[in-house]
Amino acid sequence: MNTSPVSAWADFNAQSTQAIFTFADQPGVLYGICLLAACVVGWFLVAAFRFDARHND
Amino acid sequence: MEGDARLFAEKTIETFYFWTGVLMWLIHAGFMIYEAGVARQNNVLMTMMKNLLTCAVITPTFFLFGWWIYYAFPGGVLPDNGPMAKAALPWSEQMGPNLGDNITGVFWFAFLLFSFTTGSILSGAVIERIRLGAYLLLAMVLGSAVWVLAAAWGWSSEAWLYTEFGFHDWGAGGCVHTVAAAFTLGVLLNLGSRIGKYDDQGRPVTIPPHNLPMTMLGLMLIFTGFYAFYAACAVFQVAEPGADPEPWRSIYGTPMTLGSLAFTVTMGFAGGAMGAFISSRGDPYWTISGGLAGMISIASGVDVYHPALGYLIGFAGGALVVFVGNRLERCGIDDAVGAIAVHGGAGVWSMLAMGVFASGYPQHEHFSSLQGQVVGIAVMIGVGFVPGYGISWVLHRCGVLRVSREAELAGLDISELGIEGVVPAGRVVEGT
Repeated sequence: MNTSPVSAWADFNAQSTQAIFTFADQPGVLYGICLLAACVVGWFLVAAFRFDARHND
Repeated sequence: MEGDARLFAEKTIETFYFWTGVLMWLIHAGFMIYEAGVARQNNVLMTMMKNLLTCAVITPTFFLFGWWIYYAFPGGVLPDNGPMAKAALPWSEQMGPNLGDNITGVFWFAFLLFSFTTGSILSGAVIERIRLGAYLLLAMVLGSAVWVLAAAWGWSSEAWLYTEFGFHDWGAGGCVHTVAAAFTLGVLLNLGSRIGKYDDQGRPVTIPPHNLPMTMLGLMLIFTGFYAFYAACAVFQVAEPGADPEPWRSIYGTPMTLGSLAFTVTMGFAGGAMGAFISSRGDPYWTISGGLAGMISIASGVDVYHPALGYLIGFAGGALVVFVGNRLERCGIDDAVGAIAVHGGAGVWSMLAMGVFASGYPQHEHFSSLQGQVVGIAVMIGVGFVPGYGISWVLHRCGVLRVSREAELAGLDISELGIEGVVPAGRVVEGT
């Protein structure tokens, strides 16, 4: 599965080719990845609250 | 004017790679401090000596044969006798001050610093019980031959893994990290664990770092140096007169930007630290090691990942290495710093993730693929493990791999160096 908008070597030389990163031409997927990343940050923050309280008892 | 512009561009390239090499020394200052912090107090100085001598022993041997190996073996096990290989021989015109060649020396220097990194990956895992001579021999073989062969096979546009399988390992997650980790695993199988690491029932006993803040500072220096490591992986060229400006390129020739490093390496670090924090339940050692694992996890595909994807890949890598490290420990592998987990676990994940998330990426007439990445993983593990296990087996059979039980119990600072590296505060020393 090629997730980059670049699918052939000639695409690199096309003036229209700028963003070459994964899923650059699939905004719905990118929204999903960014949402997932935000959820992971939330998970991390919850974990930080849990872990820093465990030695207080 | 055009000639002046070209000369300026060539000088800029020369300057760029020179300073990436200089900044990469921070990785080795970092490894020294990191491993000294992990070592117990009576092994600190010997641990630092090993780090210092790693750089010393690899430098001349990389000059004498390591650089040649990179250019001589892109096609497999038979050496190539082409002009690039001849130019890499230590007596060639390019291997010294040459007014017609601005670049060979600084490229050699940058590659040398990669070589130091492989030796430093080995050095932390084997602390407190390996003999200095045995360690230096192993570090020399790893740093000046083994990883270089892996790089010749998978980390150039001539490499057979690239030309046959479309292998893509942009930031050397395979040929530096995985190879060094596999070599280290082979060594540890013959070296054995530290005395006291396992109880009578074979259960692992935690040997805490003697100075965890020192270890954490060391890793912060390694992070800093890693930006230079990655910058040195980007190829900076001058366009032919009249041609379009040359973009930055990967070592495979695909266009890229330095901005991709700024985005994705940093996001990978953040993800790795967070992933390890969660999976280790807030353990400081694993959390900061997870930051490094995150930076390694994105290595193979830095040039193509979206930063948020890099963050998620780093997160998974950071979480994974805690599991791998604990699993290895339960299997009787006493890796004092978790090097196999961090460099091997994240290195393999790095190559695999490239195949999962960016298969089909065009590289001239080749395309990256999951199959090619899996072949690359198998080759990198094999190239590292076989010599690491084989040479350490011979050293073990000859009785020169490990220090004596008495020396280990006394600590290597006293038993091998004859001095205490860390003197307890308040101690009065005779004669002062």
